[in-house]
Amino acid sequence: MATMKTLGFVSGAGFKCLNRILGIDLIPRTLPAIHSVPVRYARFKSSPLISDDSTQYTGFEISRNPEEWKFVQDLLPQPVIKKPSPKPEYPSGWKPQNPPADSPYFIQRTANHMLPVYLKRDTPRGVRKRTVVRYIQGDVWALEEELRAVVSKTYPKDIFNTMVNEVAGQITFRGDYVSVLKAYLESKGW
Amino acid sequence: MSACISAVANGLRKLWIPPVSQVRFRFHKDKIEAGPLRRRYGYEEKVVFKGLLPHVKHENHIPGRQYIPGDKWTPDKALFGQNDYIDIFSGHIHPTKVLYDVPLYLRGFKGNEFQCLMRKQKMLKHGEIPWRYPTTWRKMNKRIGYLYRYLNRHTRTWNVYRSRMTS
Amino acid sequence: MLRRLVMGALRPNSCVQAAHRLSTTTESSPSEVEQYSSDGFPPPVVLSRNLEFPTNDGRKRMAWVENIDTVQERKLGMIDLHPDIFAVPPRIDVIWNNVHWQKLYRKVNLVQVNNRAEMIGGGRKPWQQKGLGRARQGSIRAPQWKHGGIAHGPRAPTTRFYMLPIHTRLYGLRCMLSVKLAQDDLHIVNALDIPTNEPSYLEDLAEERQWGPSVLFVDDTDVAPENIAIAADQIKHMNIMPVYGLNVYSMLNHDTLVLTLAALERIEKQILYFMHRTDRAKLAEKFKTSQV
Repeated sequence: MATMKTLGFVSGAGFKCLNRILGIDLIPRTLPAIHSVPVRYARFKSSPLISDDSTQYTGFEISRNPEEWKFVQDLLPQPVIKKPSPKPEYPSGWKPQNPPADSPYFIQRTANHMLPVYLKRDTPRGVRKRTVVRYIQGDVWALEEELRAVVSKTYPKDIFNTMVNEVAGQITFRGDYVSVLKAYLESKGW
Repeated sequence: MSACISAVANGLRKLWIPPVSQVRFRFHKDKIEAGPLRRRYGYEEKVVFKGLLPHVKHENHIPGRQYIPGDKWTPDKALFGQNDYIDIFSGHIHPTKVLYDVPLYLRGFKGNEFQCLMRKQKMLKHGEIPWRYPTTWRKMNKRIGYLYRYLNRHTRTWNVYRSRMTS
Repeated sequence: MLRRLVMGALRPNSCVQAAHRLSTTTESSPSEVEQYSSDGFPPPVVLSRNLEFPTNDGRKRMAWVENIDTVQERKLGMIDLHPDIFAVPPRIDVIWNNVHWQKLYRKVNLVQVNNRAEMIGGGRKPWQQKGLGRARQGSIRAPQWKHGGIAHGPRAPTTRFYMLPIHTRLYGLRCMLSVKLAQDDLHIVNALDIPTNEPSYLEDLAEERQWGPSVLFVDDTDVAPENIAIAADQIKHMNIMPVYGLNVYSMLNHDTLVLTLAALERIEKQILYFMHRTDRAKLAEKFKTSQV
């Protein structure tokens, strides 16, 4: 604010009046204020460093060796999720998709190459749970019948409802059947 | 003299009456055909006389005034929504940063009046607003003071925090 | 690569009207090629692109590449489109969410009325408290007075801002592009070069190819070629947009969407990048104004 007031004083009518009335030249004293107008940057990060004096920072040396750069590159985070390299077995137990032929439906893997079976709750820590199978293409109803049979076989006493959203390609089970469904779908090769 | 003449004339008239045939221009039949006499022509009865439930058909528009549809393809409307997905397609600019028709202190902001005014005060106090529009600025500060007192002393504090958390 | 491959056949429109668009399968393309060959013209080049992040579900979408430097349509080739962008189910609810967000997030209501403190005057007590037999009043700007301030009036500015999650917006774009392709409203051209700057040329073009009255041209560059810029500027319902301006509302607003090959590649690249980023969880975090 102080700077702006000075600016207004220099350029405005008040300065001219003073100059005329008092007969003194204020320019030498007030002009330096113009040069010291602080620049306000939009963000803190975009503003430059106070000084370029390298002695203020920790010492470093610049290397342009591509062999050394490879070690740095391994540490850098990957921008996109890559397809895992094919192996006979993975230590985590993860299996790549091996879809069965002649299936009326198709279940797409997620971007993380995992099965799209999720547990959802109505409220953040609620007791009402839903199991959702997503990214289904083709005959959603056939898959629903199949999964219903699987769940009824594993939990004969359970009474559960299912909901099919054909447009979105989703099947919702009332209850927590994530592990059952995942195990079944993995065994089928999805 | 004149009385004598008129008396003679009257006597003569009694002696000879000229034949007169009456001509009728309007007959009773015509009157019946014309229907009942229209009184207060042009006046519309406001009261509904027929039936139990009124089924009044109001006129939707003033007759004589033509409906002219607005231009759906003005430059604003034709290019509405441009740059709303600029973060996806450019990769680094956020759409709230290019809302140039929205005041700077409101871009990407949602909150109650107090939060809004505090944000406005914080962002504009270094500019020209305080000395160019001093009355507006004073009114705003006054309002902030009032809202501060009101929210802290006359409402449940939790409400304030809750709205801050959701904004 | 695309541009090089597209430089293929130049053909009159009359004999290819039946082969307007192939949407799902490649099986019908050989018959089309035979049809072309029988006329003595070189067949259009069927382009097979190496799509990033390929899917193994058997979905396939293809589209003709056309020209717009003549009114008559010429098929320059055919390209693959990524099924994750051009073959997703038409979620109308997602599209509605996107359009609703686009309308609301920029909305600011500036209606305001003055309250008793903001009105001029009213500081003096209008008459004494006792002795006049009148009701006690403290200010002529109290809300019960005529010309007094308004109690609980609208206070400006009120915003309707909210941020739609980025994955919903991505899904909206994908749904909209899929819908446009499925409804034959998506056309891909090699470039936006037209021979004249007459607006009647674009109108004839749209009439000839049965494009909707309103057309949205999308190119990868900021600067459109001069002819089409002058021509489209004189027609209100034909608009040009760079890729970064593309959005769900405009796609819905215009009947036909015309993409250049460069624009198509850019759109696919960006959407696929955002779909497969490693920091997707961080992207999906709640919007905070200070962190943009």
